[in-house]
Amino acid sequence: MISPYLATLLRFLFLATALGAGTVLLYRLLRRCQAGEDTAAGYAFLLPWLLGAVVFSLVPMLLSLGLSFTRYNVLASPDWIGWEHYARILSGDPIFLTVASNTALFALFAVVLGIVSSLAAAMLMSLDMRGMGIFRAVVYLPSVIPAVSTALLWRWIFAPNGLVNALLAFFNISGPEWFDNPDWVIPAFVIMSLQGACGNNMVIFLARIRAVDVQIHEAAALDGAGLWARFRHITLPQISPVIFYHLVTGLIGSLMIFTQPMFIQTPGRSGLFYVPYIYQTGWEQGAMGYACALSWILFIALMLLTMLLLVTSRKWVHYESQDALMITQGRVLQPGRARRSLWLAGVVLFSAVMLLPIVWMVSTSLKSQPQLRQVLGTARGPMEHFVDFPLHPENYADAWSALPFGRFVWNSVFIAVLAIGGELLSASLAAYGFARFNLRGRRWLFGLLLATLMIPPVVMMVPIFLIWTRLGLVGTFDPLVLASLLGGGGLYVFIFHQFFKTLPQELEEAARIDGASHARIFFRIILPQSLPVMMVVFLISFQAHWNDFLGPLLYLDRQEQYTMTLGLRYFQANYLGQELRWHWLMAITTVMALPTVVIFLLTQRTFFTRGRR
Amino acid sequence: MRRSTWVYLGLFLTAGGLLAWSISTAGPESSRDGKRIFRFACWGAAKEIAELRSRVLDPINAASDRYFIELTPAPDDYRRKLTTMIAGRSAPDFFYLSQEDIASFAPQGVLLDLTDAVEQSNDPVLDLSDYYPGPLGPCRWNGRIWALPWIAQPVILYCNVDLFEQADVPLPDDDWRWEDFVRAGQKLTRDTNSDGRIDIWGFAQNQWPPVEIWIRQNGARLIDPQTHRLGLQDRRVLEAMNFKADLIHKYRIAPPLSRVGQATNALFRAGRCAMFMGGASDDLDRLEGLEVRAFVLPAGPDGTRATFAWSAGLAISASVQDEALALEAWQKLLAGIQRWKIPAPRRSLASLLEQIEPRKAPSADVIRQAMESMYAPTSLVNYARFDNLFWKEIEEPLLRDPSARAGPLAKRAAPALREALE
Repeated sequence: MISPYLATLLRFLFLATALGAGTVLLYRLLRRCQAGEDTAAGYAFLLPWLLGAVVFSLVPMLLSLGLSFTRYNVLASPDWIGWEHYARILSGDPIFLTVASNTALFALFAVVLGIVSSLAAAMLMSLDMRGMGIFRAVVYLPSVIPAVSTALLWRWIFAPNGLVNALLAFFNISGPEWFDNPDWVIPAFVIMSLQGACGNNMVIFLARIRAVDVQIHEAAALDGAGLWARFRHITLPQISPVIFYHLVTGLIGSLMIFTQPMFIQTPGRSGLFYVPYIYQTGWEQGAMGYACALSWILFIALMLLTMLLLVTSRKWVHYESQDALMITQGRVLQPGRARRSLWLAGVVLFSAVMLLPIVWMVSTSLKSQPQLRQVLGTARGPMEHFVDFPLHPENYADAWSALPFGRFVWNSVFIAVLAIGGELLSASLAAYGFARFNLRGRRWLFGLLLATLMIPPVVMMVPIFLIWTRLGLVGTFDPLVLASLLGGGGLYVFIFHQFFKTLPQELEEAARIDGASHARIFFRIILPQSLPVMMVVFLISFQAHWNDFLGPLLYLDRQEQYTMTLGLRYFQANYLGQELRWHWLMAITTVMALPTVVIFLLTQRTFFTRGRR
Repeated sequence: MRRSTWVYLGLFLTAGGLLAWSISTAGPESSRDGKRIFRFACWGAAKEIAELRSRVLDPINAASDRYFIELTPAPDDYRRKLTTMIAGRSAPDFFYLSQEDIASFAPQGVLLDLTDAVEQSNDPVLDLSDYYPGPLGPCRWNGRIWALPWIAQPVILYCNVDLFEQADVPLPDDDWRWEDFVRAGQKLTRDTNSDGRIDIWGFAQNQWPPVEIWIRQNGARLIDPQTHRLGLQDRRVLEAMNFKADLIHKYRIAPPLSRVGQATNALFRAGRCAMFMGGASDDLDRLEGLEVRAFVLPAGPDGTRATFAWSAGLAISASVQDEALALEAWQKLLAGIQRWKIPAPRRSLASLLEQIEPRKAPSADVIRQAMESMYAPTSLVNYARFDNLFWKEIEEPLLRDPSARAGPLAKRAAPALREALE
């Protein structure tokens, strides 16, 4: 019998080949049908993403729209009830108003503060100096921690006499009860989200800041422009596409906050957010029709907000390709000696703040079960147990041997490698199609791209699962990797798109005049220039697959197929008579974070400088 | 057409054809080596799954030449996985179902009706008279049987012997009632270092243990099992709910919710709480460094005994193939689990509790005694919604706010709760 790994790999290659050939055939067919060059080439580049968007996004979205007009409990057939759910939501559901206001408040602060803090971090970390790579890795580290571990860590950090309150007490400030006080729940979630978002956002900002032309800064400085004036008039306009990207994705991400609130209990409904409410309603209470209606209201709100951002972006987002950028090759303006010391102090302080939860995570992984009982039993995370001696490094070996983690690692790597490869290729193709070709229907298709990001995945799980069941591929690795060849979701296309829009077009035009094909231009000119964004997408995609829980849970049936994240959950879940093994959970979380950090350290030089010309 | 177009077309058709062929051969097997494969979905911790495999499944699979039971364990979020599998028409053949879920799943036609098979069988594992009535109740819906329980875990009282001795409080006896429990709790709750803060608590609670324990001990029911009428106007129900809150606010033997957090038994495990109500198969009576003894729960003011039983059933999917063979395999599986997991929901097996799990021998008599008075929650189609509303609208505010009382909260929440019951 053929190995399940080989079978998936072969299907992946067959699909990639069929899509590659199909792309060329579509281009030639459209040209033969008298379609314009832009339309033919554009649709050819978009083909893989478009197929994925229709099958795995549009169809499930329309199904969920249909279900929103029915009474549907997932297990039985739906019954048509018309607008009843919408009427109830908008007129008589008090929980809806609570969760909507909680979520809006959270999103407002999380997005604004998230952009400001990650931009500040990126500015700080843009300095060229020995050892800066380590500081960048430290700031990046929290974003690679699985959500379940993050939630647990922050529950302890925000405990009444936890880490944060202990630090406040140092300054004679009596800290609040955070997650136990309804007034402080949202601020606590906002702070928690900042730490997670900062790393990823900083990387994208940094890649762009490092490309800002130093010569303009130098010229402005000679003309007497101060630091703030240069930041406002030179840096900000040049990084505006990245700010726009963070605004859109941050808004979508924060309005759809899900995993962390699921693991943190708060008084009443003070910590109940929109998507967890949808999940609770649809999956726990069996009212999936109502959950779908809630999702579509969120979708409409997100669409309106995104359109508003798109319309206003024309006034402040600058996509002009600047050839001068190519000259800088990652050189950045260096501050004077006095400012450099101050700058360095800021870097160290920022890194220390970001590192604290990580130290707590490692310290927990080195505690024994009785030591951990004291931590949990005293008041959920007291400072006196920050580091307990003796340390117990054997936890790592014990946790590793409790389950076949060697096999789990192999499975995670197998899935991540194929999926990332597929996503990098198909998302960059689609983004190029959007960024460079003035094809017919582009606006609508770009709208579809953004729309695929705006419907909560919790209501699309069943339709997508049905598709994979019909294909007979549930129980194999295929559902976790094949869709990556079809664009892999809109986020990566959006990131590539924002980057391609800033690339100069002169080289492509010259190559076209010399007779180069679109494919040759894409692979020989565009991709080599896109190493920074390729690495950014690589890192985000690696994190997503490495830490994915739901996909493997739903599609893999046998333990020998399980991934690291599924293995990790064996230590988190509360089962009969079993004491929770937080120390093992943190040990495996630490091990899981290592590969991403090593990749980051090894590759950061690539994405903080521009690619080959 | 250009020659290269033909090449691309050939490539497209070949790759597409191979893909289609490969997909048609993928997917779960229905048989292996001539044996039909039944998929069995379950939850469990790593060690539990390993034990289930070695102690239950391996012997069954080795003994049968007609079927093979393949395990589909969910490390977490079991309900979502199971629901998606059923909705996606790839339901496992056998699966665990928590007692609250049986009444939700049965009306949807996704469970195999086991009534005839149970009635016609002489197998002891299907002898309903051997089952405790508490855990068997949720397996029935509309007069039919949709699953049989594989576990029945009554709540018992774990006591830290050292803390009782330090406070000079005698350990509980069979005559303990609410007032004895409160009196002992008040003596056990101490500020040991005189810093003005409590260091040792008499008891710890949050949503756990369920408030219905107190309600039943007070001789009432939250929901009438026959009519599904809500008992929130019953004085005894409100008294019991207030009693649970008074343990925190009036008698001060249990810490406020913000101190307990989500890890309800953490205080007990850390030796900072003298009494804890936990499941019979919890490992609280063999904690390293602590001497712990188990007792039955205190009785209500009039001596009524009642304890909550957490139970789960083993069900068969309505879409199972080869029903007769599936029933045979299910019986073996059920019997195997009941002889591995404690406490089994059958009287004949309860007497073997020490043999099945020797580490539970010191608590075995208490567990058996508790099993005689255990109840299961009333079967409701919308149990999850009701439970969530009850906690958020009544119980949590009652436990958090010292000035809150059950009566006004119940009055305000009653319409929404009644709607959930319909």
